[in-house]
Amino acid sequence: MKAHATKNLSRAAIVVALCHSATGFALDFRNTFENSTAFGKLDEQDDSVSSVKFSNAITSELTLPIFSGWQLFTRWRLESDTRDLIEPNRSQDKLVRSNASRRWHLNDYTSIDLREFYIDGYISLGGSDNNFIRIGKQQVVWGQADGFRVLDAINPMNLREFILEDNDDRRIPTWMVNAELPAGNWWGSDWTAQVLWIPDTTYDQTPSLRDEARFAPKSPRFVPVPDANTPGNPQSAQIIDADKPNRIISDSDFGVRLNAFVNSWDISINYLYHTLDRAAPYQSIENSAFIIEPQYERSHLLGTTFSSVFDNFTFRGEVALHSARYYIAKDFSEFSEGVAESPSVDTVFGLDFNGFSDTFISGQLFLSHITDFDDAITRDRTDTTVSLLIERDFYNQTLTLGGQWFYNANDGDGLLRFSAEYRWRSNIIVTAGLDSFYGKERGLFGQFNQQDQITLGFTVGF
Amino acid sequence: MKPFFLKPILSKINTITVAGTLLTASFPTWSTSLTGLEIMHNVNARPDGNQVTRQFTITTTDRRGVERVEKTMGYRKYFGDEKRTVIFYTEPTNVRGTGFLTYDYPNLEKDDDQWLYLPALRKVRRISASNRGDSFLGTDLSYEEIKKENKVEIEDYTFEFIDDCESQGKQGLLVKATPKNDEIKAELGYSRVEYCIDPDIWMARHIEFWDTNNNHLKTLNVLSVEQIDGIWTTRDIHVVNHKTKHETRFTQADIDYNTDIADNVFTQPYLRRGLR
Repeated sequence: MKAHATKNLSRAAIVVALCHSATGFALDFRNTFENSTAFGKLDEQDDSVSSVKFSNAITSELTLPIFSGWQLFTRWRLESDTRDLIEPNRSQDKLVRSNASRRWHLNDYTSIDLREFYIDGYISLGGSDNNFIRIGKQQVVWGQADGFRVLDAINPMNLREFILEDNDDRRIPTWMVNAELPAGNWWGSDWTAQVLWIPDTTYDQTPSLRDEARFAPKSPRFVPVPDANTPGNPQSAQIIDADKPNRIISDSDFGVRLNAFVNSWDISINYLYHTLDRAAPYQSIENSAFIIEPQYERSHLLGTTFSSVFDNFTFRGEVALHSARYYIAKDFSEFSEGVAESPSVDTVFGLDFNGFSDTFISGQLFLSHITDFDDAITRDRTDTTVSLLIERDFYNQTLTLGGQWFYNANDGDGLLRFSAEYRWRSNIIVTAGLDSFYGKERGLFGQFNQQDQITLGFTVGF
Repeated sequence: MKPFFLKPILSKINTITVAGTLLTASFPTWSTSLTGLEIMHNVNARPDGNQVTRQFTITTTDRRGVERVEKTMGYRKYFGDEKRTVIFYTEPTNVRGTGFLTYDYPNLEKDDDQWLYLPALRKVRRISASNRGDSFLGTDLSYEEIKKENKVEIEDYTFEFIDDCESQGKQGLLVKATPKNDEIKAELGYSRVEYCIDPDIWMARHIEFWDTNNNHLKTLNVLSVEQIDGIWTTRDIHVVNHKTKHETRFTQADIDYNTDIADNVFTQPYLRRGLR
């Protein structure tokens, strides 16, 4: 198959396909205004409820036909959170984002973000007109899971609100070349190959305790925490900025996905060679000071997704094998500078039920397994998290009430979310919600035990 | 709010329809020797084109008179006996890009395959097709009715020709459809459906529905029918749910049966790429 593709490429005559636009297309410009307000405790000592977020954002989208079958799409967002507790001061984009993917900060709490900017269209290649190319800043999503990140590894995430923000807002769009090409007919089905080249060296943006960010992780599972046995002064930990990769070719990510609909199963096979989105936090002692010096590492990811329908149930799953991942070790002297390297296997299985009218019930089981485990690693060999989502529509689907529960079986902690969404008018949606964390502070969810919040908001499209 | 010019028309239509249904004896009879089943076979045999492109405007009005408008772009194409449909939302902004792809197989034993693309998730989700009696995206029509496009699944019902009927000044044939068993009745949500079929074009111009408890549930009126590219096409449909007082109006525009639609439009990658 690879040889066949190479042969086709070598004789490719790239001409613009004239007949691919199914609709014809026209210039389109639209805007969305979104208010998001949250109330919670300011800190552990605070007994009262205060405003912890007051965010207003305008998102503008422009679709511009360029020439037959090709279009330019841009999406900008002007956002202002005057409470400035989520990303205090000017966020440190330069530490994790490439020059081309940084936001433009007007002041401490207002920024402009180019969320997407790409051209796309069809080209004739190797005798087929069905070759789709999208070049520019964009989001590409792999995988079948909701809320869990197994194969959704193409774009980095901004974890400024942990997992409370919508995925679309959490994901950081990056500059890439995205091609989707016919890959032949196998097992009676047409396969599509997606090929990605991602030269944009942008990585996960995690809020920092140094900035007293509201959702800065503090669990030893995610940040090195010096204990009483640590040489030097544990209170004087210094974090040195990671040396972020910035070479166009050798630091690029490369990915391929093959997907098809085979015998009522949607399946995909995925491969990604990439820089891990979270830097490994290497630790050392220098002049009696505890030093954390994160470094970005490369890894291979091989995975698969599958889903099918059985009567009222949809079964879906993902499996990802990582050639190397880097875990925090309790005793940094035992491991190479406090980081343990191991391959890992992540899986998620989901079952959706549609048997009741206007009701959606979805359960998921997420397992993360470290294959070369050592007791010094600050998490268990196998980490197990389950989720349950129940949503019901009322009044001809204008009102949706939902509840979602995440539970980590290893630490016994979790997150409960309740939401209400009312479509008041065609273009106006009003929302309300409650996010409640519980459990031990060392846990994925329990570390935000003090960050419970009530949310209110509205969205206006115009 | 309903457009002011429509209110008296709809009111009159409902009056005429109910009167027509109840007092068919007062109208000239439409002689037919066809059975109810034969009439519905004729309805299902009505040509609907190998493919079609069209825009839908869906206007819903709740019991308080609040109106919500959605617009979609839809494509349908036959691949042999298999019917594939894809719908993209174009308005309002907060649902723009939402896509819905269906493979409808001729084998009744095989459920449809359906996929939903939600721009907020940026994922194509496989969804179960078993709830065919559920409301289609908050409208007063079910997934089954949207899929059948003013035709009927013959295997679901027993049909009986009742009498002549009249709808919007056109005489027709009144056919009563009763679900064949309790399971189908529960799936569809109806205990009885009555179709007023226009035998000139073999299309229902007026339909009454009764729920599983035999209460009058909803009324569908075809307000406008037009022959486009030689195919009889409903341009304007009004549905009212008598229990919820919720109304839906479907209007179609830019209907095109001739321009070829590429096969790849009916695929998941296309659904993901969005409306082009």
